[in-house]
Amino acid sequence: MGDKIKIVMIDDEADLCLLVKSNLEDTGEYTVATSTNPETAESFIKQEAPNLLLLDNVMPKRKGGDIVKALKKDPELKRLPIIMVSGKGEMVFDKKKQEFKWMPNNPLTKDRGTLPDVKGAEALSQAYGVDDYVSKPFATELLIEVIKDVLQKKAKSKPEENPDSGVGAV
Amino acid sequence: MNPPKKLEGSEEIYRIIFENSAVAITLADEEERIIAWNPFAAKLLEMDEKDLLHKPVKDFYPAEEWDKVRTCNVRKWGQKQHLETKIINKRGELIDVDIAITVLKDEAGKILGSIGVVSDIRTRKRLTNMLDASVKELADLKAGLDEHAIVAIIDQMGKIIYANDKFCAVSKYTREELVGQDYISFHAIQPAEFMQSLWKAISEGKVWKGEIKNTTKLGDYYWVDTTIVPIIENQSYQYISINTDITQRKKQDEEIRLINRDLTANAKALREMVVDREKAYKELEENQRQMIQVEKMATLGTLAAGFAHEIKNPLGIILQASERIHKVVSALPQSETNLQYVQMVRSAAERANRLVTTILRYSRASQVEANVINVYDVIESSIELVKQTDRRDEVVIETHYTRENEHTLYGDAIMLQQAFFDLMTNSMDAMPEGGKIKISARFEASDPRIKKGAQYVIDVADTGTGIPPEYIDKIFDPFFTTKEEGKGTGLGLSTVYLILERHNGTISVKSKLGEGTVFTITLPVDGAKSLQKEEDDGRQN
Repeated sequence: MGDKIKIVMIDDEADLCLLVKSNLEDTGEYTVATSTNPETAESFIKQEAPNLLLLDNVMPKRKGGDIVKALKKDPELKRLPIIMVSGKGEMVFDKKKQEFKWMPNNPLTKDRGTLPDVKGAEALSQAYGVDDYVSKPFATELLIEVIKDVLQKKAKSKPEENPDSGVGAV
Repeated sequence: MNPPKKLEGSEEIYRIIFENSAVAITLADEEERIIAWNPFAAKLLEMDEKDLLHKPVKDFYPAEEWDKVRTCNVRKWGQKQHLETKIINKRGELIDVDIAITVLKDEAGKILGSIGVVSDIRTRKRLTNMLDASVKELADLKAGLDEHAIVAIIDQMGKIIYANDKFCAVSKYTREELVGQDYISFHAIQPAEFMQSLWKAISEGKVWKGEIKNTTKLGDYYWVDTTIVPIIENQSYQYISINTDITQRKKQDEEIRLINRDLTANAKALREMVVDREKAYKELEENQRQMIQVEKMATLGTLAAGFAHEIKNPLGIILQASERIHKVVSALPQSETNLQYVQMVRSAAERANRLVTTILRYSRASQVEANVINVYDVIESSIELVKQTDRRDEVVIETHYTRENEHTLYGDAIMLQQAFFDLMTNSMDAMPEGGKIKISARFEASDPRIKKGAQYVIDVADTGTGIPPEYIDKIFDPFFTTKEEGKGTGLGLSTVYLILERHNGTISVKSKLGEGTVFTITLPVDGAKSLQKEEDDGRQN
């Protein structure tokens, strides 16, 4: 397992969790731990200590967005890269309200048809706390591309790391 | 007929006078018996000699008339002229006469007789009686008139020369104050033209009737119904003005008029109210219709969003599972045909996803949230988007406008972007061999004369295959598509239509087969103002 990338996926769809886990692990580059319970997200993540989190947005009892907010307040977890997964579509940044909206899109195309209002991962991270997103349904190929992209960007921003600051950065 | 001696000298002359006189002349002796008479006397009394001669004078009078004659004491005074009395003719009729009696005396003063000169005054008497009756009648009429009417007499110059009591009573002026005043200018309150026309009529000898408003000496008003009658007096006109005081009636008329005016005003106000209500009702109906429409769209949107999310989850599972099956099957020998089946599952999932996505986009179009935006920014970012998603070098996108005359408009930038994006994608699909998309835009200022607000007019033109005429009316209908199975959902243009409708804009199309298609969009700058959401912090755009 040593040099494999550890991923935690939280999604209430058990079948999807199993499939994504299998498809990612088949590549030989990832190990995936999944949970269908959003309420125990923090303890599960701490227990698994992943390199990246795949987080469903719309779940019963606790929304993905609320989990992101909680993680950002946790000094131990606030630097954890997050990829939001949602069936709602594409995220579009509303400058006026300074928030993201889900826009229907066609995520199966390799180019994700990002509207110009979406300024990519930086804007997402700034405004919503997530590093990128993937719309359901998605191909494994696309998911891997996004995962690599996020991890690469995160690695580049490492020099800036300062674990004691930025709690209120959201 | 033996005249006294004294008269002998002029006998012939007097005889002629006596005989031809048109008055009756009788001569009586000292005993007051008739001794001579002229022919007119005989005629008057209808008597002859045997009726007259030596008959006592007394017999010719009714008893009471004789007493009257007696009381004149003619014998004492010698003469009585013009005694009006009555005598009796042969048929016993009373005849009105005027008698002059002269007593004849000798030198010693002894009475010799008397001469009576008798004029028949029956005609005069009758006329006098008639006149008296007329005068009385007139006086009665006048009294009645005075009681009822205001009467004035005006001379040729228009000056009052007579005013009756009623005139004085009503006008509060004394007669002295009224007489000599100019009747017309004195106290009437009427336009000059009115009084001039009155004066013109009566000075031409015509009777004038009308109503005149006057002021009393105290400054009050009174109204009269006037008849002015011109009369000729000494070769010149005078005018009798007879007026009935109609002040009371006029006051009532005025009250009625005011009531009528109020009623008319009320009726008008009521009518206007009804019109306003009808208008308000129509607006309400229209608002309600729009609200229901918005509500419907919002419900559809919410429903579709939830529905799409629910479908996207199983689709995700299908897709991921098909990937695994693909892997498993491809490891098996003779896998070609089986892999095709796996690919079918994958394609079907992709198609289902596209359909759900377009329905989501369509429903999202109903939830327009307006901000202050710049239409050129929107056009340019949608061109950017087209270039990112569907890069085809054989299609050129050109813009034909200058950004000099820029106006902000209320709109949903994301939805408008989608609309332009969809139009351009549509054009791209119509140009498989390549071509040109030309976007032009112009601002049209408001024109209050035709109640037109300011708007943008934007053309999206392509050099594509064109739309067949039989389809042109249907292209905006939901789920209408000419694309082959699986390629189009039929929601692209209807989403554009819906987005523009939510902005109170329009879209129309002109197309020629083999030459191309032009979509023309109008976007009122305030069309989506009411769809503005909560805090408006101006223009961060």
